[in-house]
Amino acid sequence: MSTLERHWLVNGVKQTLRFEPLARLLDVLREQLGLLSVKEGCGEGECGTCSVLIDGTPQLACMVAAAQLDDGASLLTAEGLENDALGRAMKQGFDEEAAVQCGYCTPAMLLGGYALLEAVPEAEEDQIRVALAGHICRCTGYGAIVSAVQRAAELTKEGA
Amino acid sequence: MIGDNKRRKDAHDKMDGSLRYTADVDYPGLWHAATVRAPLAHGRLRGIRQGGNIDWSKLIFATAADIPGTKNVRMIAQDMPFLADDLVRYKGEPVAVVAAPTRAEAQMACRAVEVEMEPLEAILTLDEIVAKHQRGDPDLEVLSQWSFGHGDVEAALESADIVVEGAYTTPHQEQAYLETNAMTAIPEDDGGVCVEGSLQCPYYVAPAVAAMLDVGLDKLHVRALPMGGAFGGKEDFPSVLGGHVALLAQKAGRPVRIVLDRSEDIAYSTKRHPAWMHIRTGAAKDGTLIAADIDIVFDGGAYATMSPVVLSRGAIHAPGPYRWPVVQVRAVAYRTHTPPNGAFRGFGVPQTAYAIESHMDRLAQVCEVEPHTFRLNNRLRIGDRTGTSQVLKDSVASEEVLKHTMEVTDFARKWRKWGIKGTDKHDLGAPARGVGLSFFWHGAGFTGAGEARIAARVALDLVQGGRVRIRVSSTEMGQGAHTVLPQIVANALGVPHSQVSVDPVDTRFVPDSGPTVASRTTMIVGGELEGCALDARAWLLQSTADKLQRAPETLSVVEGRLRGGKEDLGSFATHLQAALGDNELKTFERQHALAPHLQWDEASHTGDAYATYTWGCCVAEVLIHRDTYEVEVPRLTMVVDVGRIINPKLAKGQVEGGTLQALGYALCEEVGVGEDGALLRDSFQTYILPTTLDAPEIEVHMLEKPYTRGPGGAKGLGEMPMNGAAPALANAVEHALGVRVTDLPLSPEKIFAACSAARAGRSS
Repeated sequence: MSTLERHWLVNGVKQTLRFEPLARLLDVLREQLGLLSVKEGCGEGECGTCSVLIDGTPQLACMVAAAQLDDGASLLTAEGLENDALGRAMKQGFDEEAAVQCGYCTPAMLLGGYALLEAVPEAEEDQIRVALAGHICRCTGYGAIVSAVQRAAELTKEGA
Repeated sequence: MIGDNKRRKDAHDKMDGSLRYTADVDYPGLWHAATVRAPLAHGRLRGIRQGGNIDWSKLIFATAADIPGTKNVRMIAQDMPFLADDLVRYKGEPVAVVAAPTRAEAQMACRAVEVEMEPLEAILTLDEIVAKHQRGDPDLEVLSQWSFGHGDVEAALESADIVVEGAYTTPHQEQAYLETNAMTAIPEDDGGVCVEGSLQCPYYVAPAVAAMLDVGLDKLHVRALPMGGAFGGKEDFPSVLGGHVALLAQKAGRPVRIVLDRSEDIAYSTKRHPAWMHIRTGAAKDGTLIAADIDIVFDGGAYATMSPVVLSRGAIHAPGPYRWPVVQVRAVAYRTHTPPNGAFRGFGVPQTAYAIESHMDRLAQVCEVEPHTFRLNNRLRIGDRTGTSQVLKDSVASEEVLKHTMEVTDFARKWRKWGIKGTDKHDLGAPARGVGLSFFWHGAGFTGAGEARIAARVALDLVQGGRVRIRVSSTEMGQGAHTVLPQIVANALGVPHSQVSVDPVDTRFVPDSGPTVASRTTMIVGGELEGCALDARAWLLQSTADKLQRAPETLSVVEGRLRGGKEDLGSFATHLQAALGDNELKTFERQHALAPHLQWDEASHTGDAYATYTWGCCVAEVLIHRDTYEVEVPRLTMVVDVGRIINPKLAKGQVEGGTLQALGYALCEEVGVGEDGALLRDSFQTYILPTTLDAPEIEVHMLEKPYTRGPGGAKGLGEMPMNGAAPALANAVEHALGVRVTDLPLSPEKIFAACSAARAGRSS
């Protein structure tokens, strides 16, 4: 099979990727770029653990073929959250509210919260719950995660 | 420090992806393993043929014949083979393993293996074994059984004004940790092997794999990496996978890893035991309990593995936290030809707690006593005798927990207003509203003499520069042990939390503090570490006192500085350097021993089953939609006593998370067994886990009834939150609709069927 080549902006850095036509985005990010925050939870689009932001929208990296992304696509993974104020606020919120337990769902949860607050900076609890409904967490009961996103919203507002 | 919300030490590394879980660790030359599985649930292996268009010379293939040492996995019972040799006892049982350069190649090779079997009759479901149990069918194979109690139950029931009888069943439950089972074996230069992975109990895996390879423990060490959840599911099962990868790695002479995919993990790893509980109880007219007779059947699955201890804990808790003048419990786990059932948070208690708490509501109803009053009147108190004839001596928070629950939930008022018989007017278009209560307990630490057998060893190193390092085999699976244990040590030693850390868990370097199970890590391991820290502090103060020519009792360590009264004498690190001299570090060690007053007879299950118990009460509020029979849960309240709380936010996280798992158990989680013995719902598409939109508001109240032998007064925590929500929800559904569903989950179909049957009964 022929190898495809793509040029993406990943966590703010230009990257050239070469992969097989059927390669999953999940595997390309983990194996070629070492972005290990992208985790496989179920491999069938049910748990949300592998989600990343593609042009600002959460997408499941296990269900997206890397070939579906055109040149110039912009990707954000949890490794890139440190680069801006909202990303740092999100992490601070999760830390303060003890929203991290086993940590396996955490990177994708952070990105889910980030995408929501970017669109709706003062998101209410029900909006947060809807935005994160595609992410399974087996540890927390979700309350701490919802509080963490609310806390991140507060921090961002204070910082703005 | 104890009682402070110290932040998790691993939070940042988890958030930015820098923390390495098993599948994230790279090794040069790493190969990947996959499993060849038996096609039938029960039968004899007649042939394993490496077929297909595969160049087998380029792969590694192993069957039971390749195992140099012990063929069975060392566990509580040692009856399960690493790889089936002759007899296959469940569909999907491993019969061979393959290693290849990529996972896809390994999986493709596995598919090319033909496994021939001669079928035998299979027993597959709880229903089948219960029917046979009730008939006394000799075909059943007993994997484990216990019976205990006191008094003549038949005579007592004969004398009771009121007798209520009922049977309750619960299904398999999948742990559904987000990180699937994963293990790696790495051959080392000295001829030894390192096995690392997602595992709760390094000192279970090490001897099991060493015995399989027929090597000494000097040639086999185990590293427990951070885990993406476990909940008991990585207690015994990693020994099996560890054996598989070690066998392949030794044959291949290179590192080999196995990572189960989600459907394999659900279909073939351990689950919570399905259970049937038959309860007969007697009470006086005024609602005073007289006797309980409890018959328990667990579906053990294909091998005994952990069943003896899960069954024991379930049975001991089966009478609930109540004073029964007469009580008899008989519990048995039978073999079925399905994957072995094992450990899952709660360890047998969620099953029996669901049964007894459903039953207590029914008994209260017949006695015409409100459910909260019934429980308050009959609760265990100090000086009372449990089913195992343990006399409770201290830290019994039954009254506080129940009374606090009544206060914070306003239960009595809601119970009188809501529900099918409530005083509120019922709008037939609106959802039916109900409220339910459950009251439960949980023994902390291992059952009976378990802690004496383990004799947990811990070590604490004070290192030049002022670092304090904890060495234990207790693992971090998300519960926060590697944050909380340093908190206990920092508190006792007088240094900042940031100065104390837990060393990587590697059996080559850490002593055996026991498995990370049974709500024992904070209480038992933390307790011994607190002892080490106090020893270390005393040593440092003595050494400093000698140098300064002062009395040691005039000195103290506060926030990492030595003090003589109000006088600052310099940093902990400076004085440690002086005390250590030329030594790099000083180690303090302790070993756990059972309190001498605790007595336990295993065979008769009589005596002090646990050093102490935690206590809890759950109130569930439900809205049941009259068109769909869907149970909506606006709020669950948990009031728990787990002794002194070390870290309130992390403790609350344990309670909230356990409660949501229990909600899943109650309402939507069900695996199911197919006619061929396959577990049916083997994916997250079909095995339904609660999401943010299903999760209720979970209100947590923590009371603190200290346990004198726990660190700072702490008891166990992790499992107990799993016990309460299922029966509280069942009771709330009954309250709302007047029908009782006696088998979990409380699906809309079952509730509809129960309502239809009740209507048919009324109209006939």
